[in-house]
Amino acid sequence: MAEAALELEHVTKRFGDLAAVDDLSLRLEAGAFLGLVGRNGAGKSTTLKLVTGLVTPTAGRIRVLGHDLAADPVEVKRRIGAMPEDMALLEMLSGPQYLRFVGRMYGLDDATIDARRAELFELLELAPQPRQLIADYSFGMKKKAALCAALLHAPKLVFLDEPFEGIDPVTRRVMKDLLRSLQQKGVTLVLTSHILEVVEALCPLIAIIDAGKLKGFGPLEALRAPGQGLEALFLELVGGQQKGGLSWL
Amino acid sequence: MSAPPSAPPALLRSIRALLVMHVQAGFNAGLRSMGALSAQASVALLVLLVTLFAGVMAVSLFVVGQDMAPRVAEGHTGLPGLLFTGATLMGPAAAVMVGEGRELDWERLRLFPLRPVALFVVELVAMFGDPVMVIVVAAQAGLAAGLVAGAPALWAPALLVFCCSVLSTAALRLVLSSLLARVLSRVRGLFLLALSLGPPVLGMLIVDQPEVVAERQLERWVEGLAVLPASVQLGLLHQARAGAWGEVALALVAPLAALGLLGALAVRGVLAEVSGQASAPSARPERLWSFTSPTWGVARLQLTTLLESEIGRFSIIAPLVWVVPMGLLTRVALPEVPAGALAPSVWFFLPSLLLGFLLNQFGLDRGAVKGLFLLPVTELQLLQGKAVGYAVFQALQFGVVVVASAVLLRPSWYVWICGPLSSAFLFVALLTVGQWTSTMWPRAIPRRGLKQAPGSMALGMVALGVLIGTMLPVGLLWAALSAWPLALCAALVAMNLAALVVFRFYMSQAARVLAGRREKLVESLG
Repeated sequence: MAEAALELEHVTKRFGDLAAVDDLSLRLEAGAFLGLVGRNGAGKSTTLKLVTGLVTPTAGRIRVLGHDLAADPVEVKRRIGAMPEDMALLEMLSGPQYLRFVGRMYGLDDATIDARRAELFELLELAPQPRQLIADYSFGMKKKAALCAALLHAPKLVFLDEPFEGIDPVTRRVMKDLLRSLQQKGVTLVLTSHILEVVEALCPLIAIIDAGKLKGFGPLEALRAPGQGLEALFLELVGGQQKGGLSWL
Repeated sequence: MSAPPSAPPALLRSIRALLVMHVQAGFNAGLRSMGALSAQASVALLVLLVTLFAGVMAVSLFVVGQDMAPRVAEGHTGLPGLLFTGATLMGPAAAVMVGEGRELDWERLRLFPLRPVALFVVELVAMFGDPVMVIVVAAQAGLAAGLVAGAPALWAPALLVFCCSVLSTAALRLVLSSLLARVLSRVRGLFLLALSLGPPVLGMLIVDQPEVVAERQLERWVEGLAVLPASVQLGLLHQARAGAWGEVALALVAPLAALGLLGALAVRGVLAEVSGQASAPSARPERLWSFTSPTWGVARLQLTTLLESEIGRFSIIAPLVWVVPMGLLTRVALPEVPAGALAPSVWFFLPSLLLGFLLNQFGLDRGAVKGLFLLPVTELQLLQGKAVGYAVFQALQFGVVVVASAVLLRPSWYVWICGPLSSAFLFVALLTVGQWTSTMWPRAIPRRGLKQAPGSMALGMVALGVLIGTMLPVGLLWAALSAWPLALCAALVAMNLAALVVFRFYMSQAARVLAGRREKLVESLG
């Protein structure tokens, strides 16, 4: 069997009595594009934090690109790119300063960093004022800067937590095209989103998570009934029911 | 995208990148806080100020060290030990409180392929880029150099104590940076209580004795300071001369152990943040608010906003900056001046501590001012709620002053009545004017750090005018009627009633002004 890009074996993460992720197992081959969907608080962001080494699992094992995450977190981080939900930007730097820092941390030389940054900025139409600090960027600009930072070092596995939230339709289109082209080049992608239409259009693989448990995992075509959309499948698996109006309004 | 990075970044490379980023972030933050000044002017001003302060501290402590040196060589190491320890403890605390908070949020670095040791080394080095730390290290260097100049044989212990103090200072700065915010958020009440009561109680222990006993007590305290790690190190020479090699070993081992402990704490702080342990969600159930009217809701919100901001928390204990030195000065240095005579000045000083808040009442709300305006409350209720919130906050300050004055100043009976009445009058006057200035010149106040938002020239002039215009009549009243305390009390009661009438009348006008300037507030603060 070929080496998996990402492999979770019975991974559990508890915060006190709460199991944010409960006995989660899945395996992604290289070049896969997984859409991780679930309700608010279902455990999507915790799962991404687990696989990026931001939190440690209470139980279970995680392997990333052939490396055991617990044994070799630095090697794993060197090979992955991640865009957390809160973007984790260093806001007291300008965009170019930040990307220069990120690139150096991944061992890139300055010329490569600047060339890649120019390409990313142009592609994502990110054009900050000279010396404008990230703290003064709009929300959409921050998202773009965070995406640039996640991709700058040419990672083989990319995790994106709600990348399309707060993004205008034009940029969303550009980002979708960019992610598709990355997948075609063999990059493995995992994204979370509440926008099911985007996930359905973009991700060949779907994982549905609810209350920390995996409710469904596989190609969308294999999971759904003929003619059924992702939203209907999602509601079926997580038990969402149509409810009436408010009693008092 | 091309191939993944071929060679892993070396430790030195990470350190270099982190250091460059530190400098850039610090520089950017500095420029941001300087506002309208150009980059070059900002740098020049900062360098000038730091050089000036560092120079003054170094020269002053050089002279002090030179003077102390002969006695230190004889083994009396308590006072210089106290000075080194004081710089080690107070420097980082001041740097954390005066600084804008750490520009480099370690948690933000968790995604990078970064070994914690690199981060620790960089942070330790970067601590010395902080202007306050530069001044502290200059002071420590001046003291050590003074000791050597006064007694050249002291060079070895002076060098040892200087190196240990500098490293301890940096490590402590690191510990405070990582832990202070969390410690404050968990044991804030206890911390404030200790800070409020500690200095007065300490002062009482030292000085609350008849003069002769106080001097002996002081001497005993100074001798007792010989147990401080810095004092032990400075005693190295004396013990070596006496052939007490066991104590020499202690002089080397104990301070290094203390330094090691501090270093371990600092490493632990860094690791906790980098590994994410610091951000684990709390399992404690949240305590929810309840209040009976919108006004009380706004008041509660205002009080919490003040207490949650660093500048607000500092303002509660800030009266001690005045009370403690006054008390110690009159008890120790100027015993001929009755401490109680200075007590009224504390009450005059008190409302000015809230000047920045009272003249800019929406400043701490920042962007949340939009949320306030979306609430179904009238502008009048907003202003009333804020007034109540600020009044409760001022009452907390009153509590601190009462405790500190009781211990250190012991004023006459009428000061206990007239002092708070004076403060209350000044508070109401500032609150009244603030309801107008807050809508005219709103400025966002940072919730982290102790820097006030730079105000406009107009606001500065108004603030000066209000302070003079309110303090002058109260001061004149005290001067005229202090021989007739009852009359002073009555006059102050009358002034307070008049101020309350004006306040109440003006508040409805201010509410109308506020209604007309909502957009301006949202634009300025949002």
